[in-house]
Amino acid sequence: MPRNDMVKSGRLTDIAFYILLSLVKENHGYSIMKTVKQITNGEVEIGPASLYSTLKKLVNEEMIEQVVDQSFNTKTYIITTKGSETLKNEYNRRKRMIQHADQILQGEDGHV
Amino acid sequence: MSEKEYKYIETHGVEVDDNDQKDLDMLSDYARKGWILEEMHVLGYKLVKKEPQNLIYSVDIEENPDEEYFHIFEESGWKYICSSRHLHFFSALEGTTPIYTDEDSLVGKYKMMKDKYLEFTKRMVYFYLLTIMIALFSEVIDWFPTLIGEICLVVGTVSLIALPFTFMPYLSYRKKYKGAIKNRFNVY
Repeated sequence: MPRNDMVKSGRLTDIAFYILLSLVKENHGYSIMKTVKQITNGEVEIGPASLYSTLKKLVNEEMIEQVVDQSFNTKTYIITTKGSETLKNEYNRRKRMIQHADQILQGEDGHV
Repeated sequence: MSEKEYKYIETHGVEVDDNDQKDLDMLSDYARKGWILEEMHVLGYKLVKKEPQNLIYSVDIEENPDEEYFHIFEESGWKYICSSRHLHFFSALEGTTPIYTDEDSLVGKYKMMKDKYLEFTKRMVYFYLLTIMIALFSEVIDWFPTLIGEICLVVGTVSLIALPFTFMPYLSYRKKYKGAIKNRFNVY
């Protein structure tokens, strides 16, 4: 069976990873896209359909929640405790992957 | 005030095969000649004469779009044009970030639509079988009114005509779903 649910496995897709990162501080719609583009120096761009459906998934999984804020007419979100834990686990998992790669790739002549 | 000029063009059938892309390309071609999509009509699109523009078009699937949905598209450079049921049309200038930038979101959407159309198809087949059974019943059992049997036969046959409208989209979404899964794994 293909992995349909990015969250149940405890792993995050790249886009969910970046959206969670940009919601460590409260953030909303278009500003999330801009944040992600900024922190990745333009390497990662998120389209509106991808953003909207991933936000909905993350809300359903209780990884993020809506901030009650009347001053915006757009919905503002922030990461939840569950979201933070998942992000942290995913961060560590990906870091270990890099370390594993380093053992092989950097062992020989010191650079990749 | 000058009269607006309109042109009506036919759709290839957005939810059949890869015709959605054919339609979107066709709309871009028309935009270059100054015919801009204004709204949908029963068999296709209504275009209005304006300045020639280089536009790209996209169609998204969303069952219950809210204000935030259209707002996010608008802010990222995708102008909302019109909707037909769960299909929403947008246009943007060439070079705008595509509406989908990850395969996972597409896999989810296609799966949802594939399952939905399969459910419709199943219901229609069950309904057809039910009408046929009642029709047979009325033939065999003496006390059962034959009129009901005849009505069922007509209604059942008519429902068969509608079957391709759920079965074809099902097949095309299943194909797209499999394609999206394949693409997702190619990434890794």
